[in-house]
Amino acid sequence: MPIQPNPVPDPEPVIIDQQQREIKPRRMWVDSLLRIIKSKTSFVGLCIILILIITAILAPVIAPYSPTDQSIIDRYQSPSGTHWLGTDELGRDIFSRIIYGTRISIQIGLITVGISMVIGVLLGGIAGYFGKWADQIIMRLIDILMAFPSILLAIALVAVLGPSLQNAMIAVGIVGIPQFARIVRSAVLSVKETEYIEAARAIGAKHKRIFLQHVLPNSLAPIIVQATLGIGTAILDAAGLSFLGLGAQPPTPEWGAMLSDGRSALQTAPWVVAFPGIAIFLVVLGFNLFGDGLRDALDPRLKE
Amino acid sequence: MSTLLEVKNLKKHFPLKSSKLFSTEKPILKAVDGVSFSVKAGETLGLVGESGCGKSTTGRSILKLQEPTEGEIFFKGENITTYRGEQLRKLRREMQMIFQDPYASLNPRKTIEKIITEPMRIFNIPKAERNKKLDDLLDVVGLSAYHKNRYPHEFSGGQRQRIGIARSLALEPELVICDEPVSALDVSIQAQVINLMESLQDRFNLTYIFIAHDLSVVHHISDRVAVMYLGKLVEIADVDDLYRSPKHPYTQALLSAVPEANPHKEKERIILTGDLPSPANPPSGCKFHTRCPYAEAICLTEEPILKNVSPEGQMAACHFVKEVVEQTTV
Repeated sequence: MPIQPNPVPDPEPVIIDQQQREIKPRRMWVDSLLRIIKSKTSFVGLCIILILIITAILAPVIAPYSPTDQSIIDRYQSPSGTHWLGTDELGRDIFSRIIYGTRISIQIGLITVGISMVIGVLLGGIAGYFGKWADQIIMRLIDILMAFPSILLAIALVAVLGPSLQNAMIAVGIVGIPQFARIVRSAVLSVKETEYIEAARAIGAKHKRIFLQHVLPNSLAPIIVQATLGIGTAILDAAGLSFLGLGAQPPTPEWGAMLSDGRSALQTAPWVVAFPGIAIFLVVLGFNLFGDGLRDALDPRLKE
Repeated sequence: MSTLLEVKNLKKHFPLKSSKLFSTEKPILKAVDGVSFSVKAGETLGLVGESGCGKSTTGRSILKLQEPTEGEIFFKGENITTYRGEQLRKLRREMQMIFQDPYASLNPRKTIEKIITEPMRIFNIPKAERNKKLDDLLDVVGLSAYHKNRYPHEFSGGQRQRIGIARSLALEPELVICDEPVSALDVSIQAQVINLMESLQDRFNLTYIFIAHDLSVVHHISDRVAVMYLGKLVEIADVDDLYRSPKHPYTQALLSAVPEANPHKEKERIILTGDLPSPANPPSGCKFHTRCPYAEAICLTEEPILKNVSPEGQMAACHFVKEVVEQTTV
């Protein structure tokens, strides 16, 4: 039963109609952004993050006073027209300190997440890609790291490294590695089994190329989500360390350190503690909302 | 014609997770269990069989995408079974694969240009030559130059398969293993892609191993056909001999299942009873005996070997070839 001579003419250059022509590459990211804007909660998160970034950039313009100028006469002033959010025990303007604090918080967020991400992606990627004993060794190390309560581990690390903002960021960065490693590993495990990875092997690609060009770009979505959520956690953890005196050292206007400074005057001057607390709360909330929205937006199952 | 590829007693076994707790013996799935055949330069060998009979595994083992458990593979007279690392990478220039699912075999984050030129970038072919080759390849497989900067999701299944074919031809291989290249496509598109593959074979002097389960497609494109059942070859012959007078009862049953276009033509349909046995727990003796209408005592104990059954070189693995042929011709 031979098949009939082919009734379909041989392939002409395929004509793509106008509608298809308009589809742009990078459609996935545009789609995701649209979906984030549509969702109210993640849009709120996005707004908070944007305000934070703008504040950090324009800090010298927005802040009415220097964040470190002391004026003992004006100490513990309640919020008023001259000092919008009051002053602390050294008479420093709290509003200005919070504004400058955004710079430090963004720095903390990006650097710590950067540390966790680079190391976590590398470890998780190697574990997932090569499997076998590499997987066993790396993931058991990660398990050990995860067995410690995060803040306790960070305190232990800072105790070894010595208290400073820089060391606090390194400590919090190391604490964040397990999350990244596990997420990347699972993403790599699923991408690794796809046919296009096999195709890449069939054309003679080396491991480095397969991993960097094929596996990693296709595992990106969960990494981005974790990074966004991680920034919030990192800011919170670093503020915790600073509160304990292990992070930012005076007179750095770091929010956690500000909380710590105002602790003794909690009953007489609650604004010294309240406003940095609210700032931390808002920023972490913003990153969490945005990260959640991003997770939903990047989920391919939601594609219509 | 010289022999391009020779496979000797190829085996691929997969260890399975033990179903019983604390059990020490690991069950083994014998996906391919002693397959031997050779392919001549320029010909197309069709490899057919039911799902799960090991035809794809055979193809992947030849390309060494999966390490064979046992057996030897000779390519151009060289034993490539032990090739690793750099040696193996060099071999990739000469052996390529076209994949089954055009939706899964292209990296969704790369443009068509990147996908097709990647093999050439891996082998350090200069940029000018790459670009020229890219345009040639796009032209050859029936795509246009303005498709270059698009992403796979902007194409239809047939177009994607053309992209996959272009990628596999980028290094000008001699042997292309086609793993069910059309089974994921619409019938009308299947014909286009098959015709494309045939014209490419003439143009570039390719040798195909064409894995499929669609018997009419195999009949159309193959020079020789090998039939697999549960990890074993049961019959191998020139395409016309095999389709005219199948010698193995399994091949007969398979061919009788092909729909006939002429409704008035009388045709005897051989219906096999029972299911395909699990390759993790295959039957003893001849693996086909559980479903074979001709099975006798010897089939349960002794495994038939693949032997010549006709002067034209048709080979079948059955104890009762003579009887089977007599019965069907009467």
